[in-house]
Amino acid sequence: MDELKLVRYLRPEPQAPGPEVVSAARKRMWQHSRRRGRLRLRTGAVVLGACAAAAAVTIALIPGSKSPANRTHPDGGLPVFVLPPGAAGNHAASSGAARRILLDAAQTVAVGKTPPKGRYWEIPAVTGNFIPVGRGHDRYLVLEKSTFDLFMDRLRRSSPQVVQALGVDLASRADRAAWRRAGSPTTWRVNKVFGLATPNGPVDGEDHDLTTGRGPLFDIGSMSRAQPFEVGYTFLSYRQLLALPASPRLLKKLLFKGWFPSYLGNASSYLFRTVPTVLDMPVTPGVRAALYRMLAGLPGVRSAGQVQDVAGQRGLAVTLTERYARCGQYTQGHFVQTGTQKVRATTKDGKRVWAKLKVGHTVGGYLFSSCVVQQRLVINPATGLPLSQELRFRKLPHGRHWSAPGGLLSYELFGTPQWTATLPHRDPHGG
Amino acid sequence: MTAMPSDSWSAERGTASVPDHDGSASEAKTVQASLAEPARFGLIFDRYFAEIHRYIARRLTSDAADDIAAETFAIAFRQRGRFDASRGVVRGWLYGIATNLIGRHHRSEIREYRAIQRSAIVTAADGQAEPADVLVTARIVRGQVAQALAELSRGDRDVLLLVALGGLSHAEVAEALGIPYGTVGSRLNRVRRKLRARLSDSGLGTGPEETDRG
Repeated sequence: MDELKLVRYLRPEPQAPGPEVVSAARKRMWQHSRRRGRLRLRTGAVVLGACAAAAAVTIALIPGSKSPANRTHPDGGLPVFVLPPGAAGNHAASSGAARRILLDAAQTVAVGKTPPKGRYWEIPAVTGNFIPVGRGHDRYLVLEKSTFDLFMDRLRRSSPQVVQALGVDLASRADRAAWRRAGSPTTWRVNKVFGLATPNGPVDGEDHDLTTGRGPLFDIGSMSRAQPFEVGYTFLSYRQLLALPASPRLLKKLLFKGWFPSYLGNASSYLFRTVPTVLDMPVTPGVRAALYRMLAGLPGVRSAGQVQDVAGQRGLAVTLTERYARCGQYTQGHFVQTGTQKVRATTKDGKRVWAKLKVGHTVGGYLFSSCVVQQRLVINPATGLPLSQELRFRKLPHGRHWSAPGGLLSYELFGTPQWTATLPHRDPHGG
Repeated sequence: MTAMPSDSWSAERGTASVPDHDGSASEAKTVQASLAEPARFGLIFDRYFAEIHRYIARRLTSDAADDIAAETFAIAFRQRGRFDASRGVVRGWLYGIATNLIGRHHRSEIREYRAIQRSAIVTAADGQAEPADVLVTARIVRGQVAQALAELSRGDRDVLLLVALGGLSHAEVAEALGIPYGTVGSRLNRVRRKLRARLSDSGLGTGPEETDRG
């Protein structure tokens, strides 16, 4: 007698899952689509506020001045988001000016030092995403703000992505009026993307309850692997990261490994949004400089000159503007009726009904049939390091509009990446 | 409306339409391709959902398996960007997620084993294509096996059940549990020796070991 067989026969063979179970599971999986895929547009995590549990909290705390929320105008309710006066920049600036900004940044970072290694490399950030909410003809735009901290465990055991909701603003006064007409809700079920959105607009993320006020700190996905440092689509160990070549050509080759063109954009837009993620890794100064030189060689990169980012930080901005088709895909969150597996749906005349959801289909669509989006990278000229990234709608189809100031749809404020000895305490139920 | 592709793979293992495990490289590519084309992950779901459901049901209950299997694939889909397509094994990866989720129901699993141990009702597994003596012996020692499993550490139980219930190879167990491939064999042998010793103490002798897939 074999003990493995004894274990195998311990319990009866279970029944195969029925078609309803399979169908429900498949729908649940699609509802969790997150089209950013691997592209964690890491932000130099700017962590505002302290974690609730005191033990083992080592998140870098940045003064609240980095939060755009401090610049809004509350009016007895949710604040309205306002851009700083210098946010627009100089859109007439040339590609030559962009090249100079990037090559200057390359020279500045080239004289930096590689920090001595620690246990976890922390990349802190604060992100903001404008999300359409509401129903029918009275939809409005809210800004959800979160911290977004990436931890990379050099010893492979645990590399979490830790987020904390920082509250909600309204995009404009008109949105606030619509919010009031909707009864001034404080909770919305939305498709939320964690981190910076992709250039083709707010994408379907995960169904998530958005609430006003600060949320718990929770982990949206840990990995335990020997190569936690994500460079494009390739995962590297710390040793491999340090061994990266300080060559724009070879770095570009590595970044393109595993990439192929898709609705997420072309090669230039992919590099433009991926390079900042690598700049914040504990790479050598030579690699940082090479990354900037790579950006300097990208076609279509323009300078926006001196700008203030959403947190009011002053820096030099470079931009890349592209047209995208099918912008802002979303899936509609389902409320599934127990027993019938029907979902709530809205008929053409606005009536809410329970309806069968066809297998293989999901309810949703696209916000816009096309869009032109500007990616903006703001660089601190003193350090050569990125201050923030922003995405703005520059053009929408005729008759469509986006009420956020400056066409802003997503931003990411970088903090100071550093080694840290411990992980923050996370709420296991927060996600 | 966003249309997802119609299911073309059978969800059951062993049917003619399902690639065998030599297709693991193509499965890894499918996961990678799903980063840009999320719909492709449906192929992975179709291939493995029933199998993962079965594994979970055999460790917990069928009701728990409905929810946990669904959560396994939701997590896998959400985290598919973290799967290393150049080295990872999809089957092991999925079992790893499921095993982690089962771990959150540690007490439920132990409760099931204790219930088997106490239960006076001994039911033979139906439909087993095995010799009669295997079934008879299993009925006799069911309580002892359940007790022995309940007494194992969670890590030891995971290794044992991934092989015994999931039929995973050593490479797949290594992927599932995030442990070095080279230690899977020794760890499994240690757990089997422990189990054997426990059953021997109960008066049951065990015969030759079946060959593990390495």
